[in-house]
Amino acid sequence: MNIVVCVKEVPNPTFPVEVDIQKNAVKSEEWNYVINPYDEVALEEAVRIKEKFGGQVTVITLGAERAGAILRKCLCIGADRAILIPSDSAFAWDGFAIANVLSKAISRLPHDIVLCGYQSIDRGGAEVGSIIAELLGLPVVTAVVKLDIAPDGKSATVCRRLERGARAVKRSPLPALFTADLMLNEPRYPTLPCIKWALKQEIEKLDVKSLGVEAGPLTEFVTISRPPPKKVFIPTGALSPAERIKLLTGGGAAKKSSSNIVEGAPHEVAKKVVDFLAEKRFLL
Amino acid sequence: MTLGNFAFRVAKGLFTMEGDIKMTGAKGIWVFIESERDEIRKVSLETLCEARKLANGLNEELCALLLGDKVESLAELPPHYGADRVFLMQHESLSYHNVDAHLNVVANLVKENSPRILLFGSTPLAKELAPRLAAQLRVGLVTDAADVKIDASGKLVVRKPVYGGKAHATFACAPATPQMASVAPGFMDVKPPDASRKGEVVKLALVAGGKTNVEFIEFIKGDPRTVAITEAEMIVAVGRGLEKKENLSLIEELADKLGASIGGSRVAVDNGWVPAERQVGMTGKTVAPRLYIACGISGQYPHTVGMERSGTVMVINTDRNAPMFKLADIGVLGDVSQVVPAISKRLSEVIAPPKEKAQ
Ligand SMILES: Cc1cc2nc3c(=O)[nH]c(=O)nc-3n(C[C@H](O)[C@H](O)[C@H](O)COP(=O)(O)OP(=O)(O)OC[C@H]3O[C@@H](n4cnc5c(N)ncnc54)[C@H](O)[C@@H]3O)c2cc1C
Ligand SMILES: Nc1ncnc2c1ncn2[C@@H]1O[C@H](COP(=O)(O)O)[C@@H](O)[C@H]1O
Repeated sequence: MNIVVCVKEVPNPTFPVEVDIQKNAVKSEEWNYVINPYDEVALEEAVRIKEKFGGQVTVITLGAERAGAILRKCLCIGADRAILIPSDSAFAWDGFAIANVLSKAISRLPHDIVLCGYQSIDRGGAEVGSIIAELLGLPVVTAVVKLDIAPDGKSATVCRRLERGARAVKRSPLPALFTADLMLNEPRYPTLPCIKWALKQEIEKLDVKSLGVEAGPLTEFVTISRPPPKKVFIPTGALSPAERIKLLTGGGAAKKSSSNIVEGAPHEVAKKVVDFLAEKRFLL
Repeated sequence: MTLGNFAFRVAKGLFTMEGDIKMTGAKGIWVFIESERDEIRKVSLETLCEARKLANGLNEELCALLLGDKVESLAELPPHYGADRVFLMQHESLSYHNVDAHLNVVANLVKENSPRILLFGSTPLAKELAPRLAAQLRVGLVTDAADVKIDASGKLVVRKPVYGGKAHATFACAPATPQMASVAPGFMDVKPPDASRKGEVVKLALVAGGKTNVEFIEFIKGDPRTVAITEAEMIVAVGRGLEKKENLSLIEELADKLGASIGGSRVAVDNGWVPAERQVGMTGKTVAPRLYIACGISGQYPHTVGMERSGTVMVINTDRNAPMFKLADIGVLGDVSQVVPAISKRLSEVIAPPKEKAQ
């Protein structure tokens, strides 16, 4: 079973995100970078499949030279080959452009399964996997929480996360592309001796130009800004000074129709409440 | 990826207003409508209402794309929310889980009609459909939009949360049409429907079926008692006002009757009433259920920040001045230990045996 895993380096999510309005960019000097958590899960799944069926796991990333570091970590976790397609990591690359390059690279590699993360936690398009699949003509299922390969290695039965805990079970012939949800597995940690070993390993480099990519991005980055302020609720005298300060410093809460307050005997209140729930169609 | 295989014709039928659905040049705004339990999904309505504003700005037509297995009964609704025209296609192959069939149909419709803009609500179906469609058509797509606009040059300009919501970035689609975006739930307002507004319903027939790569096997319903709180559709959340652990059985009964999951404030977690992974708020989980019932929760900012994107909020509290009431769509001034069992009792009178809740 040959598996290609697309991994992306993302800023460590515990670091603050500060927008530099003048430069129209985020301040990133102090960031460090990690493997996109969804991709870590995708890699773990690939390694487990390899352990069961044999074959090779190749990790591939389009990113800065710096991303060599996350590829080395992937080698520790169990990848056999690591490929870096060097590029600037700016927003100039949109989901399509990234997927286009990756799909060209993947098409040159043996692949029974391609795994991506469900989404990247920085730009968070949740799109690159589906676009790669479309460009390669592969069947695709996203947000996979369970992945079972048939013993003959010809198909996979997967469980897709829907909303509200619901799941859809689907079956796909292989080769196919799946995107990993965080619930798919619990990734292992690389061991220290392995980290030392990996430091000495070669990372293969692939030049974008050599891939013969003809199409560029289909969206362009315009601006980045702080998140817009929440709808502010103007505190009234009905609140204690401490609460008013809390609301003001905390950004306040959106004000709704606080006039709709019912009171009285519990059974009468209950009737009004249940009517309300029925009218809003919560009792279907 | 081959497209072919599909052909369309305008079918005669109840709502049919035969007409030329071909438009010249890229024109008009399309919204992909999804339904659930015989209702149009809220995020589709949010998208539709926002699209109405764009259509007004462009002075172009707004079309709703209503595809599915059993959707005909919903065809009059999109006009109430601003659609000028509804493209209706009902076919059993267009079941919710058949992404390939939807993809083929929408791709062909788009090619035949050249809309300028195509918008989706961000749902599990759209998450797979929109990127694949955009890739196939080689058009720009921005997913999970918080805001959509059209700039002076006619480009679709989309703002969306990035870095986990810590910043917002704005992207513009390339001029290739249709310019596409999917709209994240909860950012846009739904205007009250205008039932007097009528639109043209164009009934399309699916003539030939397309190839489906991925076979749908089974739908598994989520269990509200065990589902992660971030995935819950309805949440009954408790706070200090629960007063004692024994009262939890009252909450469980209500949650059970509604098919809701249980969550809590930090105080509820600290008191051991609710497990830590069910804490809502700044140091807990951020949730956006359709219904949030806050029982004895004061509504301090570290709590509300985790639930303010909930659809409908009900508040039960003894203190008229509790800030939580400011978020309430309906507030009950009363004691949790009395009001909650009364609601459960009333619910058992109204809904006989708890009904299956299917997608
Ligand atoms: C850094 C930080 C992070 C935090 N993170 C979180 C978080 O993630 N989530 C969170 O919830 N909190 C968090 N908090 C705590 C938060 O500030 C509040 O202390 C907490 O939300 C209060 O919980 P409560 O509403 O249950 O209790 P209280 O504020 O004590 O409110 C109890 C409410 O119940 C009402 N009541 C009392 N008896 C009854 C009754 N019999 N029937 C009906 N109503 C009754 C009262 O009128 C009152 O409004 C955080 C605080 C800090 C400083
Ligand atoms: N630059 C990249 N290099 C390699 N893989 C990527 C890259 N960007 C995205 N991916 C893959 O696509 C998935 C979804 O990304 P996104 O569409 O940005 O949310 C990620 O989890 C990765 O598996």
